[in-house]
Amino acid sequence: MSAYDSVLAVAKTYMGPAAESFLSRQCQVGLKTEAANLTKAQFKDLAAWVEVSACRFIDRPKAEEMSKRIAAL
Amino acid sequence: MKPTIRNKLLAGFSGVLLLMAIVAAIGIYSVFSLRKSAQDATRVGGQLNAVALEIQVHNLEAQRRIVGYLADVKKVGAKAARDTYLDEATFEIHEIETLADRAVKIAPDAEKREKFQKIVTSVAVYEKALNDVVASVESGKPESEVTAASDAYAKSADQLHDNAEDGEAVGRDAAQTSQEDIVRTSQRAVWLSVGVSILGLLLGMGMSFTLARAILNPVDHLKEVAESVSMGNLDVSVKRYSEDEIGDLADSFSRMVAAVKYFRLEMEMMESEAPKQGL
Repeated sequence: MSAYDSVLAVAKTYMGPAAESFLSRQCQVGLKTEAANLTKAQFKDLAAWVEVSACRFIDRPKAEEMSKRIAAL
Repeated sequence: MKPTIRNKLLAGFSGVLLLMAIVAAIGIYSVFSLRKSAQDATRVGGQLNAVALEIQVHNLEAQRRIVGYLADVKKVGAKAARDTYLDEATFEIHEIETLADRAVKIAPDAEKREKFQKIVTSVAVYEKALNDVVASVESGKPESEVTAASDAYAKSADQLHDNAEDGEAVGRDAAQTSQEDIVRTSQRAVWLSVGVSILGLLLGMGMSFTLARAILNPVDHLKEVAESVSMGNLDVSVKRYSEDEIGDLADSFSRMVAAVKYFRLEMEMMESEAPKQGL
């Protein structure tokens, strides 16, 4: 399982079918990289972006939870 | 164990079954307890009554022998009268003693024991009075002394008779007391069964109410959220009320709403970018 796949698995439990597109956008906009090239070292930065962006679609506590889980991977 | 709806229902039904088993156990215990009380009543009361009646019979028989002895002693002589009457009378007295001792042993309480103890005492007095009569007759004492001894004997025989009658009453009373015990036990059993049944009913109602609330509250919430989403309002918060199947359903619904929100926003962004790109 690649780094991206493990992040995607977590994101899917919160964003469902939108997880893939959501993560792709966070990588492009926040990390200036493609999702497929995501490395473990970028997880913390990604988690910060995810926390801010996910609040628009899910409750804040859930967004924080998702961010923590990604950061902990 | 995860608190799923299946597990909650299983726990609820098991609780109800357990309560039913407790009520059944109390019922069975009560029936056996009543049967035992009834047997005790029949046994103790009946035995005491029978013993008292037997004492009466032996007393009458002994008196009949003594009357015969007194009537024939001068005609047939002391030895022949003794052989004919006194040996039998002594046997009857011994029987009375044995029966009274037995009654003292089986009497259910101190008051009743005391009544039969009086019979034991009056048998001793009776035996002594009999010996006095025999001694006065056989030693050729004056008629007045023989009459006095005979009167004393008759008095002791009456006393024994009265005490034996008291014994009969005690036997009846013991049976009656046991009957009252049965009534008391049965009333207690009925109240206990009714109490446990009411408790079971209240607990069952409480469990059903709690279970219904645990299932219906999250379902109501999901229904409200679904109605809101179906009317186009995606700014809803889907709460996870419980860790059961409905909680999982709430999570799935939450994911679905998040995805719809995201795709709608994505579409809006694409639509706003399209004119700029000349699309």
